[in-house]
Amino acid sequence: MSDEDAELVQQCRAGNREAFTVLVLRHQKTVYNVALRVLGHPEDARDATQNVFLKVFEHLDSFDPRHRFFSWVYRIALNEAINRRSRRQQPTELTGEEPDQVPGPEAVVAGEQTGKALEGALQRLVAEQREVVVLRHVAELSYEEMAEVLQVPEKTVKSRLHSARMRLRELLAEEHGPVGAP
Amino acid sequence: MTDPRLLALLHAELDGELDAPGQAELASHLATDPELARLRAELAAVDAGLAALPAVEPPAVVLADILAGLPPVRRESVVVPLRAPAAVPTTLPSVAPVTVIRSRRMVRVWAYAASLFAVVGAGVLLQQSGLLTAELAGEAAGTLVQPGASAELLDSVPLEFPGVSGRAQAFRDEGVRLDIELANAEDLRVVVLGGGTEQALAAPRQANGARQQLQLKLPAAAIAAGRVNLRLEAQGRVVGEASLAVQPSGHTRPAEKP
Repeated sequence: MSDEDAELVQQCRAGNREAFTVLVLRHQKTVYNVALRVLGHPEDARDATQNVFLKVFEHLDSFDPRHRFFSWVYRIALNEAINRRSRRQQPTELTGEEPDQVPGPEAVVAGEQTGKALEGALQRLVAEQREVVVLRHVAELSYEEMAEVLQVPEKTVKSRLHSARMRLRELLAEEHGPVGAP
Repeated sequence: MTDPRLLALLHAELDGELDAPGQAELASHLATDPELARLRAELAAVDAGLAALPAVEPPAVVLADILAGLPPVRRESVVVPLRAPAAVPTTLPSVAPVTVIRSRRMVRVWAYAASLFAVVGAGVLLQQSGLLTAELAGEAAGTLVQPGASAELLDSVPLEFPGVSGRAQAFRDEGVRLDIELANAEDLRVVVLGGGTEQALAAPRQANGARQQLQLKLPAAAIAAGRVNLRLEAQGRVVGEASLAVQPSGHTRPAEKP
């Protein structure tokens, strides 16, 4: 846990609400983006983020300060987002908007179409794969940190990430032709 | 089907974990295997695309919702209850505790208040982060506080106007704190004038006579001025006005008005 987080958690436990506000400000962007990439819908991500921090506040006393605060928070965020997605059942495109036109293979390699195509493909990954992609590329965690969040060995994290990478390539190719094709 | 060992080298390279011997081995295969080279380019494109996904700023209401959803701060002593039950018209339903959020809309109302309080109280990062919209900041002037606090009662007046029923109470609390309880059939703007400042609160209309709680803090200068005036507006017209006496500590507290 970073010194700043540790200090803030300590202050929160002492009843300092402002310290909790600062903790939220420090981590809400990542939590929101993790939820957004898992759920694919801003409104759901918003509600999930709120629930995450309310759970964090509620269970702050049970948090083990020997661990990193963000690992704990991101684990809660992933669980919240995945559970919420399971309840919803129907996957949703990230923005609910379809691209104006289907991009050709050349458009998939760069530009905003890449993002839309990837966001769509991300929603089609199985939960385990989506988790590692989100932690790696959205939360920007190291493999060690990802292993801590997911509570699995590092080699499992890497294996899942490699599978996810291959699956995303397949999904993009199915939709738009070979990824990176000229 | 790509050789699993070569695939492992490709992933290790993308992960930035391929050592020099591995790089040399991979390079030799890439030079002679166009299929492997194509796979490498495609996987690299996937990684590059993921890395380029934009990070979205959470809406300001996220923080506001979180703060509004927190349990109330426990206080050891309660001098005066927020409302006087005897003064509440019996025709209206009883009021839930202010800390019970009964609808998402109410969450949002308190949410704005809570987030603004966080800005003032903690002096932290909200404004720097652009989390406060100008409209919100202007509407409440950054002085709303969370419900639940209590202090010395200075004055209490009923707010009974067409389509409006409620009560305003002034408390001494490092200045003056106004607790306003309203059941209003149409959207209201509550304008508060005191201590040389004018502030406004939004009071969305409530269904089925439900009541809402508003709180506002005024600077210590409001005490020196002696009075705080309220004006309730709906769509630009004045629905009603009220005035509360706020006296310095030690002065005789005025009798509660019926």
